[in-house]
Amino acid sequence: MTSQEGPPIGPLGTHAAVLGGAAAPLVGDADHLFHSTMAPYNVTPVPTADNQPYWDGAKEGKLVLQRCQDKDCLKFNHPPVAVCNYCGDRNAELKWEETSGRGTLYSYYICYDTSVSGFEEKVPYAVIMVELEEQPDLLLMSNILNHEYDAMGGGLENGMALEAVFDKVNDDVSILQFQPRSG
Amino acid sequence: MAIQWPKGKRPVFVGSGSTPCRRYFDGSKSHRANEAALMAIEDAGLSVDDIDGIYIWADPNWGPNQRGDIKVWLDVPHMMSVVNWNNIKHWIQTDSPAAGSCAGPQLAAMALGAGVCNYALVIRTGHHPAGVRYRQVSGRQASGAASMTTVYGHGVGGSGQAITYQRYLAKYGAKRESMAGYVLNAHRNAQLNPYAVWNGRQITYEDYINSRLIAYPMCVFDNDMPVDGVQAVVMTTEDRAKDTPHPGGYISGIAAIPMHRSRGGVADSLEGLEEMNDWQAKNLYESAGVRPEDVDLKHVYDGFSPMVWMWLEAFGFAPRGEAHAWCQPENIALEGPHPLNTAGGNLGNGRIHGMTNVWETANQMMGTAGPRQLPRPDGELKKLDVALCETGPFGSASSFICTRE
Repeated sequence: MTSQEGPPIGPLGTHAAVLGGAAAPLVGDADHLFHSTMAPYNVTPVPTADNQPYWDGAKEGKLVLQRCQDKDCLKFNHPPVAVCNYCGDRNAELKWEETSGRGTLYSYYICYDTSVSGFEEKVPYAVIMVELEEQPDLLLMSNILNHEYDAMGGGLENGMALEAVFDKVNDDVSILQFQPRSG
Repeated sequence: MAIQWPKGKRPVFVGSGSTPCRRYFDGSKSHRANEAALMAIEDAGLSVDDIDGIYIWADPNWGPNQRGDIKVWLDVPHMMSVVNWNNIKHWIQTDSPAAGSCAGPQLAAMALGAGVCNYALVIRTGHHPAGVRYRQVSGRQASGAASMTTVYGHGVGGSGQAITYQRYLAKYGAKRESMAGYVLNAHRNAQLNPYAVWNGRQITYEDYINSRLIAYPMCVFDNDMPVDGVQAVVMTTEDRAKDTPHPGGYISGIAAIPMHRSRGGVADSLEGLEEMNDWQAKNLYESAGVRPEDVDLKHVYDGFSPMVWMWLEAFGFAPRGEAHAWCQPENIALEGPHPLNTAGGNLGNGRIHGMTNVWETANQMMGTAGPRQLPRPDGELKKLDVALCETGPFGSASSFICTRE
C-alpha cells in the first residue's frame, strides 16, 4: 500500500484545486439574472441534411419538428430520426410540421461552470428543458429569455408557461429560445 | 430464468489490485497499469503466464485529449504492451455501455463460462494529465443532436444530471441538503480505502453545502474528481478457483441498460430514466434469481451523486421518490443495515468510472476488504451472501449480481 503523500488537493471548493484549470468568474449579477438575448452565440449550429427543416423553420420564426405520419402513432421525434422511435415502422413517413411553440418548464439548472468554450463569459445562466404541449415526453432544450431569476433558481418554477421565441444570430441562423408566455 | 453456467464453470473473483488514485501523477500510466495488473494476479496466487484473457471497458471517446502517454484510456493494445504476457488467447475491448465498468467482468464471466479462457484479467484506468480540462467542448460549431444543446451552453457530464436532479427535487419534495448524507458517507468510507484520492481528508457538512456550485442544484462534491489510477480484478472458473487463496463472488446475474425504454427529447427525462432503470433492475434480478431484499452488499454508480438516489429506487432498496430520506448514514454506513459503496465509490475514491465498485465488490466477496470488510462485529448487517454491483450513469449502465457460495 502506498501512503498518502501530503494532502491530496489544495483548499476545498476552489476550481483550481478541485477540478483543474481556472474557474470562470461570475459575470452576471447572481441575484438578478436576465437575458433578452444569449447572443453572441459562441457555438454556431451547422445544419445537416436530416435536420435542415428545423433550422429553416427557426429562421422563419417557426418551431418545426419531425412527426411520424402513421395514423396510429403521430408522434414527434426530436432530434430527428430515420425510423420513428415510437412505432418503429420503417415504412411510416416522417414529415416536418410546425408546432404551437407552447410549453411548460420541465426542469432547469443554473450553469456556473460550463464545459463549452466561450460560455465562460456568460455564467451563471439557466439551461432549461421545455415540455411541449403537443407531447409531454418531447423535451426541448433552451435558455430562458425576458425573465428575471436568481442563481439558486428563484423565479423558475417547474410547470411555468413558456412560449418559443427566436434569437437571431445572423441572416442565416436563428436559435430557438423560450420566454414566459404572455397570454 | 437465472443464468445456467456449465457445471464447475461459474465465474468467480480470485484477485484484485489497485494503484493509489490521485488527482495527478507525474509518472507513466503504463507503470501504473503494470502495477495494478501484477498486484491482482499475485493476489490470486497466479503468475502472468496463467492469464489467458483480457477484458477491458476502454471507452476511448471519453476524457481529455492525448497528452504525454500512449493513450489516455487503457485499451487492450496498450495493456498487451505493459506486461510480459505469454499466453493470451482471447480478449475483448468494449466501449459500451458507457461508463459501464461492469462490462469488463460481464465479458470475462461469459468467456470463462463458455471455456474461451481460463483466467481473465479485467482492468480499468482513469487518467487525467495536468493542464487538460476534462471533456472540454472547444469547437465553435455543432451539428446533429449537439447543435440543439451546445448552442445553449449545455456541456457534458454533470450538466445533464442536473436536469434530472432538479426534476427529482421538485417532484418528490427533496432538498439538496439531504445529499450530504450520501456524499459524506462516501468520503467516510474513503478514509478506510488507502488508494482513495480523498483518503486522509474527511470533508464536513459545511464543506459540502458551501462548496462551489457547478450546475445548481449540483455542487462540486456532487461530481467525482478526475484522477489518475488503475484498478483490476482477476476472475476464473469455480473448478480452478478451488486452488486459489480466497475466491469469492460467483457471478449469478448480468444485465445492461435497455435504452429503448426511453425515447423523446434532446436530454434524458427523469421519468424516462426511471423507466429504463426499472427495466434493468427487473432483468438483473430475473437473471440472478434473487429479490431486492436478498441483496446484502450494494454498489451503485455515483459518478454524479443524484444517480445514487435514483439507482437505489430502481433496484428496489428505497421506495420511488424516497431515496433522499433513505440514503442517510444510519442506513448506508458500514455499520448500518445497508452498507453502500463501501470503498467510497467514485466520489470518495476518484473517477475510475465505476471500476472502484467492481474492485470493492470483489474485495468484499473474497474477504479481503480489510478495515471495510463486511459483516462487521459492530454492524447491523449480519451476513454477506449476495452482492449487487452497478456501474454507469442513467442512460448507459451495466450491472451484475454475485454470491458468496
